[in-house]
Amino acid sequence: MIPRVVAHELRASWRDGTTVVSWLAVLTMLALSLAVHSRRHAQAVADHARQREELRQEWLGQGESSPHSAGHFGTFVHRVPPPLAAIDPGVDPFVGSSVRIEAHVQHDFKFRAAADEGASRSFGFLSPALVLQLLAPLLVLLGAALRFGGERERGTLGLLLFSAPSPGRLVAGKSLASASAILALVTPLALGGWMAADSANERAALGWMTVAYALYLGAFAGLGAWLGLASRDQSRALLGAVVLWVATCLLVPRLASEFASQRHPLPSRAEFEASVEAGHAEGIDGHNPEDARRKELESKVLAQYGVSELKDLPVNFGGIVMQAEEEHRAKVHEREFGELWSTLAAQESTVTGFSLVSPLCALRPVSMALAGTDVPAALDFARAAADYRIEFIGFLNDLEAHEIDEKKRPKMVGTETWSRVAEFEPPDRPLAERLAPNRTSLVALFAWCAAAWLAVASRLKRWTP
Amino acid sequence: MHWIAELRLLARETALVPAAALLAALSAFAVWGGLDWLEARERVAQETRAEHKRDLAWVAEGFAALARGERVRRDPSNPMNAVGRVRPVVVEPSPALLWSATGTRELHPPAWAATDRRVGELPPDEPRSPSLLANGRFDLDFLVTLLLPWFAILLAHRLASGERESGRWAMLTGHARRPWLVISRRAALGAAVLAASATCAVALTLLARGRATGDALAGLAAWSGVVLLVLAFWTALALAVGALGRSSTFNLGVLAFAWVLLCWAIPVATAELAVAVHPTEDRTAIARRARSESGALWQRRGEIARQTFASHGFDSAEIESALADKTRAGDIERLAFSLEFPRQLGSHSAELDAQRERRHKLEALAVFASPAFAAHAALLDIAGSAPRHRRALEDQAQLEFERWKLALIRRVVARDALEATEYDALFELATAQAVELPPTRSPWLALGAWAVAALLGAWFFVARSAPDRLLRRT
Repeated sequence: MIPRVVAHELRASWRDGTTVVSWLAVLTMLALSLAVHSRRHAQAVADHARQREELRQEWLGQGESSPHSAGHFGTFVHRVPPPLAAIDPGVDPFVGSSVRIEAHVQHDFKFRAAADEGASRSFGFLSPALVLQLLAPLLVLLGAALRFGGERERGTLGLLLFSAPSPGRLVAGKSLASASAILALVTPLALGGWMAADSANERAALGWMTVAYALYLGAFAGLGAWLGLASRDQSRALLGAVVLWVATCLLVPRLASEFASQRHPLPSRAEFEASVEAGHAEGIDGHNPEDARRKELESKVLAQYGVSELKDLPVNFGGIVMQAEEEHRAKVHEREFGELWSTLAAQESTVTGFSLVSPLCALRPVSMALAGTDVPAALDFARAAADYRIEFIGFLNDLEAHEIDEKKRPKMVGTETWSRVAEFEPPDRPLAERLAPNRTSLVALFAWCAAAWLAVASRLKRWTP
Repeated sequence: MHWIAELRLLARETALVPAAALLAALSAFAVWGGLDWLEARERVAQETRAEHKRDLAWVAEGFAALARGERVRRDPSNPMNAVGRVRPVVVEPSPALLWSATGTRELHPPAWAATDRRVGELPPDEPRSPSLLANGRFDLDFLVTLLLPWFAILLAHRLASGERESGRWAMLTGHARRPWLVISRRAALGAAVLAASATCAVALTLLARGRATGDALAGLAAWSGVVLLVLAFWTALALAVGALGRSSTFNLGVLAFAWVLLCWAIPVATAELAVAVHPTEDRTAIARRARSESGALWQRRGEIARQTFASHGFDSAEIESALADKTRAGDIERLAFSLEFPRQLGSHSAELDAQRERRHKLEALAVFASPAFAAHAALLDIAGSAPRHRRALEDQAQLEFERWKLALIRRVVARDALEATEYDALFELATAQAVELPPTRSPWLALGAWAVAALLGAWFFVARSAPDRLLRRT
């Protein structure tokens, strides 16, 4: 019975011109977005690899220089988009692609791709994730609402219920037809992701991502089925489906964003910079010989080496003072950026709280986390860049202190020294770390799916012609 | 009386009243969010000015110390010291309806600081959650462009088919000589109620804020015009689809497809197309190139000083004498370098700027491919948040930077000491209010054309659908 119902439903969908056109349109968008993003991702990876190599050569080839000048010359570290960014670019276009590494200053991310885009970016980025998050639910909702609501309007419900062994089997057949629709939507995602994934970790993430999207679309299929069963006629079921889609996929996510930014306001750039500056002012100023804290450090170092004048020190005091300044500034940066990042995390968590009202608010963080394109991934990179900066400048200050003779000029080190500076290694987040903060969202997705289908089951008894 | 009766009928038969109430509530929420955003931006602009004032604290302290006959580390009367201390900033203009559409302003700070070190790069952004940026703002632009069409669709898609499905079409054709006129009248009434709901919060806000000036009223009129055109297009499209004589289900399916195509697929695909056709170089690569070439530029600083000052009309004899003076040559060269370096950086990003311009031009054509994009472009224009407004701000920041720097350089070259009172004037010079741009016509023409085309289409299909044919399909 059930396979016959499934076959009948699929045949009926195939014969309906509007359904076929809609499916073709969505699948075309999905294929197009996969092709566009896979190409863009491949270009970005190649571009980052080239820039990384060029930066290394630039660093190694800077010639003789003073370590502190080299610190000001600095370098850039790049964020290579993870493989599954081809499926879900997440926040990547909004966080920038590189961080400048320089003495004295911890820079934020720079050069957000979205900043160079035009007005049409307000409509979103054409990515496979967006197609599945926004368009696929509409298709699944309308399909399920028509599938379950159409029988009553056509007058075939009585006949079906009479001929079927039980309404449950009939509904099971129709549900399987909806499930096959979901399968048709997530298969291109899984195939595209499989081609992009380059490690077992990424493939496992892709598996979870496919499950998350299946749950998400399953929830909408259940809601559509429930609307079809509960509505008096097909037209009302469809109306309900459209209203539900507009509310959960368009309205609530943006309202959630507004609410989160109101509830956890971020400081302005000027406030943030003033706070960082105030923190800096509490420590040593490496470039000001009159600074009191510098004098204090000077006395301490002189006492440590048992000499009375700087010129008698076996090390270069300039390097020591610069490192002391860096260490103080690193603490300030950690504190100030930490506060900023915890506010960002609070905003994220507020938006996730809206998962109870919209499954999209539950899916988005999961999808971005699994793709490695969420805010925590960007912050991990920022932390790694900050740690690298401390190591990078620390090495140069150490050179300044131990390999530069204060009494001799020019205060240069040889070109071979630069190869001793380690290259930046971007952090790699294992799957468990990506999933851990998003357990609630995954549970919410499962709850949405289960609740929708439980509602369908509870409605079955009242399903009468 | 007919109109009132129709309105009552419409309110009873459709969800017009709750829909209008919901729309008004959403509009009010969008206005509230927009005002909050505006307040934050105004605060940032004020803080930037305050930061400048703070930067000038050393001026007062320095002059006071000089008056006491003390030695100062940084002499404020020396114009050279002012060069690197005060950063010229251009504050964005504040049109009356700025809060109605955030557009690309969301990604850029309200005040553009031009400094000789980083002028080729984008200014530092305001801290904002990237995930909220990716989600997008709930502003009036979003409401009008993407949500309002749904209100029109849900209201109008079953105006005719609903009559047929409830079996009242025959009654309607029996009583009214032109039943489609009745249906169209209902649609127009519904659209008018929705337009009033969407607009009331904006109008009340302008009144409450005491900003009902001529400009504000013109902005409000333009904004209401966009709302009316959007509603006219979608209502007319719904009527045209309804005139095909199929079921409400079919109408809703077709209109949902039209929404996806016109409000989402075309604008998004246009953005992708613009990026694919006009790719830009990575900004990091540009910054790196400029950084590595700055060394070579610095080596030629003497030559650059002569060229730069000559191009700005300085007396060559005066420059030569300044360069010959060892105590001043370094300062003069540094100043010339600081004037020329941003130009060099600008030349590095010239190709990127040109590609960006081409992208925007290509995107501007999308107004003729999507009414939603046309409405979006018109709303951004009213709010002054379109990409062209940002470009104008960037250009002005560059010009102000040169103006400010030249004013100081003239003083340095002439060895003209600065007075304490002059700093206020210098500060005003350094914080310029950006000019407002006149509106563009193309989004309006496109949106008007879309609405007229939909109205003509509706008239055509309605005229073709004879009542008896529709009756047969009932």
